[in-house]
Amino acid sequence: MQIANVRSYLLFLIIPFVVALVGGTPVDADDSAVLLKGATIHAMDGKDPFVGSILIEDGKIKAIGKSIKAPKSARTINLKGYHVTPGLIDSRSRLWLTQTSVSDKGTKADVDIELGIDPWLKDWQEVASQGITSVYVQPASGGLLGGYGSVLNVGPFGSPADIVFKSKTGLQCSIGLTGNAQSRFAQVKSFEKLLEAAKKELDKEKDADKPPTPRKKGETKKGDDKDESEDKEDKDKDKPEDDKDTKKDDKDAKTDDEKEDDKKKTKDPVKIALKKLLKKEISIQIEVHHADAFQRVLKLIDKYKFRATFDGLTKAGSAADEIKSSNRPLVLGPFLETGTIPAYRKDAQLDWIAEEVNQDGRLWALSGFPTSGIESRMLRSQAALAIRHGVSHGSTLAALTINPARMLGVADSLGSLEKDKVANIAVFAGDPLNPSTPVRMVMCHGKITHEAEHKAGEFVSSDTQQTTDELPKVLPGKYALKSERIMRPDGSLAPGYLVVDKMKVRITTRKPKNTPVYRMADQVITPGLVSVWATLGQQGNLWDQTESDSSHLQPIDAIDPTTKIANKMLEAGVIHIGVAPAATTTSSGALGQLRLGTADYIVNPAVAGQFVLQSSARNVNRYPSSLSSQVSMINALLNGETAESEFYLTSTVANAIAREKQANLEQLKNGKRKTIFVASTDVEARSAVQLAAKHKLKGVLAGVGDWMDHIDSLKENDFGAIVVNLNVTVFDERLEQYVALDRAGIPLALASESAKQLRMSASLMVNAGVDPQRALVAITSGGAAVVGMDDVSLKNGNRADFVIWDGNPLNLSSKPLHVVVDGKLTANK
Amino acid sequence: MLQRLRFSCCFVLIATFACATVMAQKPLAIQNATIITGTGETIENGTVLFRDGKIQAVGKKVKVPVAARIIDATDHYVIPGMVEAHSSSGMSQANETNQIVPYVTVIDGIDPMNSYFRQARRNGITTVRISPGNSTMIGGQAAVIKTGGEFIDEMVVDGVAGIKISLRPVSGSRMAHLARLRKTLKDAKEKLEEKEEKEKKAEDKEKKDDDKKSAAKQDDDKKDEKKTEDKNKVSSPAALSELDKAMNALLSGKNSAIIYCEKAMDVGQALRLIKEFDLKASLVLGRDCHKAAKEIAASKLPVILDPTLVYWEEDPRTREEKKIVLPKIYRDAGVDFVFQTNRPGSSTIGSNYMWYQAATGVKYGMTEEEALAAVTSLPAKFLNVDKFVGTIEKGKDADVVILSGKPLDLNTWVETTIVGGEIVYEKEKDEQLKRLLTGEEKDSE
Amino acid sequence: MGNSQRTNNMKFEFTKRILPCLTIVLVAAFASNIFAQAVVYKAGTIHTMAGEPLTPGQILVEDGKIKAIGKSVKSGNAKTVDLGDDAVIMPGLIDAYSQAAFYNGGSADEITNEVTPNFKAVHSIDWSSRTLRRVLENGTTTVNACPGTQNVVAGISAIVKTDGSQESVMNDDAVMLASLCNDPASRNRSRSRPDSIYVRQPTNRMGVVWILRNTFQKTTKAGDDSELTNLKQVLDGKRKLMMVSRMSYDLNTIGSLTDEFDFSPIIVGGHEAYKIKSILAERKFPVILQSNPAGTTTGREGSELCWNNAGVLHQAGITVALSGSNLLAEAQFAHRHGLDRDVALAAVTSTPAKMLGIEQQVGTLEANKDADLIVLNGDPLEFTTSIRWVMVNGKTIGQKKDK
Repeated sequence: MQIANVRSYLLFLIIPFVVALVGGTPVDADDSAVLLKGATIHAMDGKDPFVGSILIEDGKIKAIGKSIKAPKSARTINLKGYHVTPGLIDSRSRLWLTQTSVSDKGTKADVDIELGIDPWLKDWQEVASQGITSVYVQPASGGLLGGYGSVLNVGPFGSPADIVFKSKTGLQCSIGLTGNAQSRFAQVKSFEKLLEAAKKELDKEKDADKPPTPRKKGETKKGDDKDESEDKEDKDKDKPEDDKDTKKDDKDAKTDDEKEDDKKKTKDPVKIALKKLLKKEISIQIEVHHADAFQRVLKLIDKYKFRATFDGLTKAGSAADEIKSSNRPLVLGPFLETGTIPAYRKDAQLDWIAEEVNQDGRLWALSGFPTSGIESRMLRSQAALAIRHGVSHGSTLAALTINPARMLGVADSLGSLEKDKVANIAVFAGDPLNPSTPVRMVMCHGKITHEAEHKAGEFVSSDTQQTTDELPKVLPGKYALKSERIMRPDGSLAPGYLVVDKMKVRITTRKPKNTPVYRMADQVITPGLVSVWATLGQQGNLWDQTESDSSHLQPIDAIDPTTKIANKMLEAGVIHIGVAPAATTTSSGALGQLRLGTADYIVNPAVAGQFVLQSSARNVNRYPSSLSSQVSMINALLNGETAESEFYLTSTVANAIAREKQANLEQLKNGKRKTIFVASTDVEARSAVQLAAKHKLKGVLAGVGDWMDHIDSLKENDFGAIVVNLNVTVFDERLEQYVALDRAGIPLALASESAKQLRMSASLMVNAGVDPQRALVAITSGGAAVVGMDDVSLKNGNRADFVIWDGNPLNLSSKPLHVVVDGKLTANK
Repeated sequence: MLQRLRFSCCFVLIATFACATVMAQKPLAIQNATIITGTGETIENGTVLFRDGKIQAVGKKVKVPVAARIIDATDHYVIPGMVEAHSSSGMSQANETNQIVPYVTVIDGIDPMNSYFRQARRNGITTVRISPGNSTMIGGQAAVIKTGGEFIDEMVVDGVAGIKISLRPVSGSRMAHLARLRKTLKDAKEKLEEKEEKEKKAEDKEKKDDDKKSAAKQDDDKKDEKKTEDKNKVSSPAALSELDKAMNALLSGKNSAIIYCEKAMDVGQALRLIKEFDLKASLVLGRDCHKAAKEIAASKLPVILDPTLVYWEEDPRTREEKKIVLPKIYRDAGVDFVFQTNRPGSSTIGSNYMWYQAATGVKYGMTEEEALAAVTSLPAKFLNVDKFVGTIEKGKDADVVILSGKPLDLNTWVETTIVGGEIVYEKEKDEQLKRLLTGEEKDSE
Repeated sequence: MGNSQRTNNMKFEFTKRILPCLTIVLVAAFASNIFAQAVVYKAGTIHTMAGEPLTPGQILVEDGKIKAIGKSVKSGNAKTVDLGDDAVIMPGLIDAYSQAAFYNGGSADEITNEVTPNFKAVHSIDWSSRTLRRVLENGTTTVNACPGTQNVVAGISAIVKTDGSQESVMNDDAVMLASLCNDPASRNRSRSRPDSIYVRQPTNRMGVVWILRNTFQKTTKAGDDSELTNLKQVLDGKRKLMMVSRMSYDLNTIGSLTDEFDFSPIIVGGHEAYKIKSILAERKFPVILQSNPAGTTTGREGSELCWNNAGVLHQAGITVALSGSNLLAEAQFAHRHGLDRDVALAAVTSTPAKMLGIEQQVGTLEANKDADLIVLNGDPLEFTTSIRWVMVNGKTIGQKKDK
């Protein structure tokens, strides 16, 4: 039986890199070495990936290579077919920060982020389970000069000293996140004034303390440069200019009172920070998104010569060539917006990035700029989206491993798998940058922070190389598409011909006679995606609270399917939508089926009925106001006692409504329509199952609750389940629940407001352990079947609604090439 | 303010002197009691004799002067008066609105008539360290006082009993709160170093003239020279502000720090502060700090537990509930800890009684001796007043409690509480308790 | 609504699940033998609460029932477990008025109407509620899950076991709840708009009493199949009634109401019952005392508390039961403040069982009663004693590996 997400802790030795604790942590006597054997290793040390083994001892990589000898006592783990990479690094994370310190903006460079760290927060589990072993955390962007950030470990370390890997790594600064061009200009100006003041004070100090012997420029200079070269490539163009300015000739000896004002050194933290910056002791991370601000800051760097990394640059497309020539390290992203998009990042342009970062050796890192600790888990989804924007697989992997390590000055121990480096290792069951690939094991400082039994899968990267035919703008009445990967009803992808004739589909393995055939190579053809619960942004029309028994309502009448949101969903591959009433009344009416991209969009106005047992349907001012009354009301409705309407209606209208309600309820009882129960707490789910059993309904459970201990009763009453708003901050525990439902054979459907969220939820579930084929079925034909929509799979005689992808839709890096409705191409971009 | 500080910091020297002469007390003796001295020795039908507020003698056969007042305590127990190491009750207002007020002292805020002291005497608490509350960054000076007496000056044992620092931010984020605290401490440290440097320079100048002048009488007037030198140092030209003086006392170790950690993350920061500014410190721990039990044990610092010893904690991820028992967790981690009491009415079970807290300790694994020590000798040691209170030994203050039965038994009541040789509580004369236990209205029925 | 949905539902479940497996009846018989392995528990003291405690004693538990109990018991092929002579066994505690069974301790009220005699609390019971698990760990094995005090006539309680298994409903149509205190009136003034057609009537204490008297008058005149059949059963003495009341003047009003209509309620709360103990004793109303914050002298609604309320009522001849989330602590403090030892133990075991009419099944440790018991490592009425584990229907919960 697959054990999902078992977290076992090996004994491990903590070597504190930063501050040598007096007395240190005791060396564990029976610390056993670990040998990872037979995996494809992406060492990120410049060489190509190879199949070999790694020996880990005392938290360090003892040996790595094609074949290495290992002590007998070592615990060997056979990783044949798995992919091993260095532990991933999120270079702009909010992990370990408490609720209040996440949004804390320093303004006078006096905030030390380590003061806001809570080492007992449990969010690290979700982040570690996605292969991330180190994070860089700094004060929230927004302050001109926020304060100092630190590099932190990701694992159950428990004491602050063990969490911090390198403290005071860099200075945080952000320009132009609020306001317009003027305020950006003003911010750059004030930044320049501060730099000028710091420089003046620095020069005064340099003149004041004339050392007796002119120091030999060579050796001390090299000392300064040592870690700087670490950051910048050797063939970095502007390196020679740095040397020119330090050759200052020294003035006469310093008098006593000059030593005096030296002592009265400035206490202003901003000056202290900037002086360190100008002396190149620390680097500065500048988040800037607009081209004009970027260009001005670039001039400042050339003038004052300090080490800077640029973050964001989401709207700096027009300054692409300055970025190229400046060759400054960059932290780019987010490629996938998970939350609400802040103003300064609205309609970002990201197409210049691929060409810039694909040059080999270009120093850049990738981050999702998350707003909460747990969101760092989406790092691999950001990588998949970067690949979708054209960035190469190699450059993206480097942007999560060796590049950030170099930029943060920790490349001597992190970022790549080399001898004597820290054993931060991530093992994937397939392509590391495909977010739906399950993570087999993650190690931080030699300590296993995540381990799960996942079979090595075929989640190989999906870039299609072969040439394909061009589809004509207007497709003929009858044609066939030949592809290696056509989705069958059970979710498997197999070669064959998809024949479209008079808006119906047929799948054959033999070449159809006298019909034009277009060769699609190995592009994936699947039925249109299905979101069983969506409001297309028109919640207002569906929010009806007046009557607690509104079984007669059909929300599909109130939906306009031609809005911008609907078109965007169609372009992203969603064709079938379930329009459900809002969960504000106990018996809230019928769920309708909608088809995008065609004139007659209503497929079936009433596919399923909906009962809500959640507290959202309980209203203090009208019956029912408690759960038990909701249960008795539903019982009464199903026993035919419909309460008379509370409206003052003429009797004919009132009777008509009552008949309509009764008819709808009848359809539920005779099983023609499914019955959706919206329930979240344990007692609500239990009542739902009992009601369905009592009245012999075909039940579907929807809601956010933890139904772990209802799985057998759900199975017994052959319930379906709707996965509702699985988002970035959901705990692994809830994902395990869907894995258990899937293993128990309970059909799943997904409800989400956008195609992106639909595919993200599916990839999260596959990553947690749901079978990939069943997940593919869940977001297409299976989902439709759960709520009783008619069959949308690619089976003989069904409608010709399908999508052609450049890869498996579960992998976020693949995108829809064509969306076909009724056999016709819909106008996509 | 200057007068207050000088008064409290040298009070310890003259305390005993004042008691002996002013109050010509009649000697008091308790006979045929089972005496638990707190030093590990239990005396069956022993006698303890008090004279002038001090324990004159304790043992099996003790000669009792004829003029002494005798209390017959047959089949009663006698234990040392209980000590509560940290409480913010007994004052009208426990927190200042201004966040940094190290110069304020609780002595000015304590109301001896407050109901806290009446409850304390009824439940056998004779000594308590009253300290400012938990919602001021540097809350002011705590004071160790006796729970008997009408005037505060009589009650004070040690006026300089630690400066209260709270790591819980009143508003805004923890980072800003901690940054401001560190900055205050760093500035105070720099000022202290500057002052010491100036003084050393002044001293060298002085020493040079002395060597030339003084030939013969070195050592005998060395002592009063030191005394005069102290005097003129205090009135040195740059009159230090009250704030600097209080902070200097803290940083130089003359005064200890009482650090309140609300969350487990605060423990790490508190230990860093203690190390960086090498403070003498004791920790008052909120409930959540049990997660840092290992670090706390390693630090070997005195620990005062949260008054709620047993509670349920929900894991936000799995929504499972776990029962957290603080005494068991800290005892298994090897931490020496003492108890605090809740305010009356804050929970339905007796966590507002000190003996109930000790009983809960025994319920979850402590031995009876450990639990008794945790409410008598150990807190006395933490407050370093163990020279005066905490055990029944010759020469110590006459603070004892006479119990109706074995300590920590359910039906055991405090019969009599004696503070400084005076009887301050007798169950016989406790009208309120009688009314509460019989329901009869004294006058109306 | 005919017989209760619960039992009908149970029958439905039974036929759907068990009938199909009759074919493997042999295996079931064999399995039941292993499943209900008989066990004999030996302990230093057993408080049977039906006569003198056994020191030492043995108890044979089989199929969730107590098969035999005594100084020594014929063990047959049962496994014997010696709990040691410092171990004490006593019956599982019973809370005669509890809200622990609802969704994390909330109350279950249908507040759209002030009088809801047909409201059944059993539907709102949350079997995995956290508060249920907490009272179980504190030793309570049976609770009377009562609707809240926001309605004048709140509805019908359900008596359930606290092990959270759905089959452990002892009686889902148990006691009628009414409240004669300030709670039903307390929030009405501010809650809904005055012009709303759903304004609730009792806005002060007089209103509460008027509605109660009015409802009783209507019930005496009501026919058989009307809404008020449940209340009629109360007046006919076929169904018990619990009235939540705390202040002495409220308790007086209950006295006068019982003169007008012949019913004899069980008082719940009774914070100032000690003040009018003679009236209550005369009318033989049993009293369930609710827990009060420790060390305080005023309780809810400003009532003047007497710490020895239980002792005083007992001396006056009134049967007293205790209620609260930690029943053992309630009994300990009641004994410390003056209630005699065995009365305190009975007040959390056999007395509430008699009050709820379930003394045939639970409340004492006697042959063929339910195997509900708790094992402690010392005298139950000592603060230093902790509960080792709890057993409900023969299943042990929270048993630690050591002995």
